[in-house]
Amino acid sequence: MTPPDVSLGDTPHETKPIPYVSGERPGVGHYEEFSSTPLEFLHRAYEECGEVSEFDLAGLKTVLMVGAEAHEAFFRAPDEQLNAAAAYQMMVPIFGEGIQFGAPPEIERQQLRMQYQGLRYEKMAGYYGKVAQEAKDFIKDWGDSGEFDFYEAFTDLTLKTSTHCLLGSDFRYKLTGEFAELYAALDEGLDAAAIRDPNAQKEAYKKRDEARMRLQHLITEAVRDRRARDFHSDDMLEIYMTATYEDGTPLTEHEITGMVIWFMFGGHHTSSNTSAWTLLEICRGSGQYLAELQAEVDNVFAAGKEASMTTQRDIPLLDGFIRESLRMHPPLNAITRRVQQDFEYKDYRVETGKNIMLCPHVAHKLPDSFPNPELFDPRRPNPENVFALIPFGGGRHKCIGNAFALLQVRTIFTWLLHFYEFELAQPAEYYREVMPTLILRPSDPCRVKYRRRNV
Amino acid sequence: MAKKYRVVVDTGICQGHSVCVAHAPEVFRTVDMGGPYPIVDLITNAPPEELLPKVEAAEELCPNGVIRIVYED
Repeated sequence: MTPPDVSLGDTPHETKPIPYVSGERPGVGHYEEFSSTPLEFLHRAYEECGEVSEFDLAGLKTVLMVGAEAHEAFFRAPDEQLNAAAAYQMMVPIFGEGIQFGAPPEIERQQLRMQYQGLRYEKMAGYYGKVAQEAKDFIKDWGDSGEFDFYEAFTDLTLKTSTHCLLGSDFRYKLTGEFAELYAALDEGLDAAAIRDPNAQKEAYKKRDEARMRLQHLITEAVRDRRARDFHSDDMLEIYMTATYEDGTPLTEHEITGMVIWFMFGGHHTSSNTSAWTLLEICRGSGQYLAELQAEVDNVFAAGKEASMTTQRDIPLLDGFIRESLRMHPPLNAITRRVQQDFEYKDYRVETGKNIMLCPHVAHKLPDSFPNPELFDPRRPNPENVFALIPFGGGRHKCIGNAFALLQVRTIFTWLLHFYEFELAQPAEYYREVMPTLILRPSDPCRVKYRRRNV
Repeated sequence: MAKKYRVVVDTGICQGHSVCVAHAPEVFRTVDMGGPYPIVDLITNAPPEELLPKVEAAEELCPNGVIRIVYED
């Protein structure tokens, strides 16, 4: 037996090779599998390799890290080391050059300060009323009973709620099908392949770019109209129109459009999917929980708080359904950073130039953090470590709209459950998770029946 | 039975939502450190007992899970 090699000085920490995911193909690595079935692929990577695994997206070496401890190391790393901007370049054609990750970090910081102005706690109170108004309009023509596709319905509803809070009543009530279509075109330009090359020659990306231009035209018209009328409002558009960078420069029309799309993108599909899953889970659990859910929301109405601020204290079980839906069916499943200085975690070193990815869908099913993880349990306590549950990401780049998102979904369901009862139109197993773009959604069609309550 | 407690905040994960300031302004404030959003700052880490319900609300309702109450007995 030879004695261990004892070396002194600054030799780097001994590291082990990162376990490599099987099934690589010549030239493209794991790219095809990741692009076509990203979620299944990431689950397989974890099952095969554990906490840290590596794969190859056609030359882009990517390391998946799973679990609260790994997430915490990831989220607490400085931006100079694990960089979000470099990893999210697929957002640049959508938001526009010079916006968020298409801008230098110093500009991005100032833009984020502007976004934050609209998400301050004091601003939230004004949003409850607008969301409640939309929820009330949503159900006004439903009649006593019926059935429709709630994935589509929530996509439409949350487009209205976001637009209402963001661009104001004037814009919201002029909202046409065109806005929704343009917005959908942006969305379809965000597929798994865009992580590698968002500017590839592709019909979906061409449509995305055309939609971005047309949206800029529509939003610019709204801005000019407000300026011409000297109209002011308490919405995000007002913030963007009056905000200045620290050197006093205002936002250009291109930048205002980018800020709007950035905010919408952050909040629209994530909220609509969360609403759809929450409804499906409420239907699945109604035998056990319906009476208590109804009692909670009826109390909110009895107290006259249906259009004002509610918290998880007012509606704990409903809030539990929303949070548990976010755990089971997190909308965003590839949280990514580019390594710009070698990153060490436990016995592993991830070299500069690689991407590191976290996947909430994989991490939210770990039994150490979530006992009996496949069980949907609206009374599940929060995990010990806040980094175990990451539907909104974490750290410096965590979604700053998270409180807004929850208020929106809470308010929508307070209204729906007060006036209606819901039932799945198909057997429960019919409603599956699918991920055609980078956002997880229920399979199509997502039909649900409703019946008016006697209230 | 009097409950002694301390308040601990993890500023590394705060994004200035200010829910704590709304619920317990005697204990929490936010300061602008020049970053994208202000960051929570403790006015005191050992508030009087009678503020405990307010501090508990701040802990429970913080969207980022920044606040922790440590009970000392």
